[in-house]
Amino acid sequence: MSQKKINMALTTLVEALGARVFVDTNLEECLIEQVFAGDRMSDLLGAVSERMLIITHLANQGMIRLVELMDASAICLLNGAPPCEALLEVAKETNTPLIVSPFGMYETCGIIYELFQGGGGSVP
Amino acid sequence: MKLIEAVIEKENYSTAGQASRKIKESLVQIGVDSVIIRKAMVAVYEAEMNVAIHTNGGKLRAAIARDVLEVTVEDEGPGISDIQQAMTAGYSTAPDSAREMGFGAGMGLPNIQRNTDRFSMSSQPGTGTVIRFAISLAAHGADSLMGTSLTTDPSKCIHCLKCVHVCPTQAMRVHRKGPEILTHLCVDCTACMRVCPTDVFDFKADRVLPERKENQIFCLPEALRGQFPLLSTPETLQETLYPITGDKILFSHTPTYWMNGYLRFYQERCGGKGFKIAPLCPSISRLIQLRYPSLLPHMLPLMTPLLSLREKTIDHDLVIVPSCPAEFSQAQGIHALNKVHSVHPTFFQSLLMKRIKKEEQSRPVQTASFKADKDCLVVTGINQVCHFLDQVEHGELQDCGLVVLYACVGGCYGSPVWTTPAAIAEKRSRYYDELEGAQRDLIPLYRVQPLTPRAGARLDSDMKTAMAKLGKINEIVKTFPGNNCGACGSPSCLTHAEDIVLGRTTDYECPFLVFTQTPGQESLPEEFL
Repeated sequence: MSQKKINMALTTLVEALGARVFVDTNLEECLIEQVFAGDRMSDLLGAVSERMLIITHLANQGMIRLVELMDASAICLLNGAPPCEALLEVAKETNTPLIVSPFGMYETCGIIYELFQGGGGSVP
Repeated sequence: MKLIEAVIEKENYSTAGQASRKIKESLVQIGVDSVIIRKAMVAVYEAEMNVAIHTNGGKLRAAIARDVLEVTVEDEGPGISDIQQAMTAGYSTAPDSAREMGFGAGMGLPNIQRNTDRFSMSSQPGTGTVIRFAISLAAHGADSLMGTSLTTDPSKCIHCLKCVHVCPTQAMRVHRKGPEILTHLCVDCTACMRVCPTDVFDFKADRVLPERKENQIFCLPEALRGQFPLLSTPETLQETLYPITGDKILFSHTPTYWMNGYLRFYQERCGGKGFKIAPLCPSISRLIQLRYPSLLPHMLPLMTPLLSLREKTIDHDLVIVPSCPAEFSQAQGIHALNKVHSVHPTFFQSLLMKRIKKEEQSRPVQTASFKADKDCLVVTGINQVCHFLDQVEHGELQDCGLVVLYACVGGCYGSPVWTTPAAIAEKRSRYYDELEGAQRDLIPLYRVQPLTPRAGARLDSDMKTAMAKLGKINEIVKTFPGNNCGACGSPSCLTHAEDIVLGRTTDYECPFLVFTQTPGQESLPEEFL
């Protein structure tokens, strides 16, 4: 799990990860200030706040509720596994960008961490 | 008010969460702040998942009323045998099927606790668990519950300054325009009310009875029974009360019988060892939060009798006759699903007195003395309590076991709203219990949201300004005599300086200095000679 506070455009992250974009509503405008990675629902629920990218393996009913209820800014799934139809639906409905990183959690977090450390993605 | 109900099915993880969604829609409609919505969603969703994962199913009821979201979640078992363990972060009994979904981190209940303003839980192994929580929807709503409910009538004030000296938290000021209570310091202890010779202080409970309803329960203080000579039987008392209250009456929100419940908890959970304070008197809890925060860990994690009672009668409208402003304050913050009315004790007593017939009064008081308190140390009266807590805070007296503290002398029987002396009222009241043969079993509920220290005086929210003000106060206080006479209307020289700097008074002069330093005074003795 990692957390960090800088403003970064989601598009910058998508580029750096080479992630596939599944839901692109709001993608262009989306700014990320914090990142939270984890697979325990309670942790995710407890952590979600505005301008937060959530990185998780979870792509099930629980995740659908999380997207629906908690107004997370963006979701990043892992290992190139495409999300189920229901999750796509709900992400579209709630205007939550949904991307899938080709890497596992370790690499994905590593790449994003580097980006934030460099402060490279700061937005005018 | 809006009601939302939902059934939660066992192990149906796809429908669990629907109630949360409905509640969220309503909250968004009302325009509640998104941070508060998020808090509410964590609590409600975790509660729903708990039912789906751990129980045989259950139902959720939510009410959105005024500034509060109140939620009750009931399930059909199997119940929790050790609530403390279940509340422990990281402890979970979730099956693998739930863990695969990302649940079962053992953070559900702690997550609910962290995100709610009031949270209670009771469970019977075999029957089921009931969780209730409330979230204040107004920003900083929880703090507003901290205010005082004491009101003043400045036209009655004769500026005798007794209240200024007696206030244990220095919350009282009597300046030119009359008495003023600094609400952030007041703990509703009634010390001022008791010493005031002209009845300046009161609280704003209703002076009419609420409209009679089917599911209404009247909750009367035990001390009320002690305000008139004994009636021949408890039935006579019931009959006398009936036209006013109907037949659903509870005589138990004053704490006498609750003491057993706290004592049992102390013996079972604390092994009967160590210094603990039973949170019976709401005023004492607030005093400790404000003036003795270091003693908070010694408070038993239980609710006050009134709050426990409210949780137990949550399906009814409640008419409470609070026996003091502290109880009234508590009664203010506890309605959503069903109404809570507060009727002023003086008013209620006057209603009752009209109905009591002379010929029904009989018998001298004959009861064996009550036994519960022999194992608890009972300290009554705010001065004694402060004296006691001062010593405890200095590390003395910690061998005194379970302690019950009351702001009023003689406990709730001695509240300033009653006219009969506490000792007599108590004896009379117990007479009825003895006749009824009532072995009452009143068990306080677990308080999961811990008490937190209450912020006392703040000079300024900005640290820099606060420091500047502190400097000014120190300057001014040097010019005062330091005898804390209270003639200026503030309890001490230091607080007077503080009042000047914070603009609470425009009387800058010290009356004591004015009197002793007037030039004419030196010639006085000569005239007498």
